[in-house]
Amino acid sequence: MADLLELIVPIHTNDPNAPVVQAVVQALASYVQGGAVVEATGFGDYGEAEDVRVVVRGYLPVAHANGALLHEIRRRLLLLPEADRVGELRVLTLREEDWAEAWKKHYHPLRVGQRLLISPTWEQPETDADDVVIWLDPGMAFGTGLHPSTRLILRLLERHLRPNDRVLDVGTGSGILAIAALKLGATHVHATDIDPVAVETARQNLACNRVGDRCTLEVGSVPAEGEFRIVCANILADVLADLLLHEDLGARVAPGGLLLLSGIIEYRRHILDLALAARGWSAIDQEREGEWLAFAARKNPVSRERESSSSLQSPADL
Amino acid sequence: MAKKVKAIVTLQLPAGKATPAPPVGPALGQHGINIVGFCKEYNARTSTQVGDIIPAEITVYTDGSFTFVTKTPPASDLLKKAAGITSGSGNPLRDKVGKVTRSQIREIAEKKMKDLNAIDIEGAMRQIEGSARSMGIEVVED
Repeated sequence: MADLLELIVPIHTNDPNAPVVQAVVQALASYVQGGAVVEATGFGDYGEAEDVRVVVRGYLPVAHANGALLHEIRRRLLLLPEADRVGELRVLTLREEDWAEAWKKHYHPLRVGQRLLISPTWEQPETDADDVVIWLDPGMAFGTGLHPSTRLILRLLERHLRPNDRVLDVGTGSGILAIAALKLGATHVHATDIDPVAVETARQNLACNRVGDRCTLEVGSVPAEGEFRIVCANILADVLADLLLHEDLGARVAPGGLLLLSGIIEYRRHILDLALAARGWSAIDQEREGEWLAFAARKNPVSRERESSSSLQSPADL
Repeated sequence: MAKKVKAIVTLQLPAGKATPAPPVGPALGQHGINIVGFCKEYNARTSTQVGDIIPAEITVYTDGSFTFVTKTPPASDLLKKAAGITSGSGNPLRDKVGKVTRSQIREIAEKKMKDLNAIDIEGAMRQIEGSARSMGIEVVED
């Protein structure tokens, strides 16, 4: 296999669809293998685009390139109508790799909490007798437990789940929480996601972990009935608050049971605090990593006083 | 789960025939994307459009997961087909390599409308005309 030259052209714009970007893609197209690539990076936490950088990349075998060709490409870029927004062409040499396999080196078994180990299926992690291995390959749409919010709720689940619990997982995504709950001793998990792709991915991951027979999956949000000792949801503070206030997530928790909530970024936690208080729940445990938080919450003992105060904070007041 | 966007990568790919070879391998591999998974999914979604270049816009998240959407064929490909040429001009201001009519421009603009950031068809047509000029293709009245 031959080494590659990577041509990199920075563009002075934060819009990857700007006409100048398309013009550079077009100009490079006749020189590079399989068309030029537009890459935009530098998005904010919520996808904001202010600091986005746009580059156009192209690849060609080293053997096909020489000084004259690079000179011709540079000249062609200078002749574009908006050449002043086109940055200096940079050239890197890349070692040829087996691209179908190379991406796997980004992923390794990952320990979470005391006993959980998340591992890609091609690895053979060393484990202790007590360890619980969750097999999960990165792929379409869902991640691999690398996000802090997933790690946080896994730790809460490990700490609070009891053998023979029944668990509800709302917004299951890859199914990672459902798999962890079942492997930690839950008898049954009901998992939902509003995205059919997620439900299908979760189904495959549950099967790969050989726990699919103890899990029911459903396209949807909070189910209309059922009681579970543990109800977990790893979504976002605003969505969690909405589920508590408008879909009565708390009603799915069996008496004495727990809500495990994650995906809460510090500066939105007040939204969730208000929703929990309005519904009569109190946090009894918390996990934190950087600006991300996860809570375990328990229903407050019902007293007359409590009931009247919580009815004052009805959803409409929030 | 809240996911942070790491990069948005747009590739020009042959419908139904993407492989891990460059540019897909190096462009996506550096972001840790499951390349075989991507090619399989792309080829499945574009299998009815074989023969066209169908760009894929891939959103890569910081946890290595990704989603993608397919776009309409690039304006440059549609312009080359309309002008009956195989490549654009090396010096578009001086050397003209082909001609397209205003109604061909309108046709391409209509096809591309949903992927262009243009308010109306006239705006879209101006963008397509700009692409034509930067390729050395003249726009003539019908």
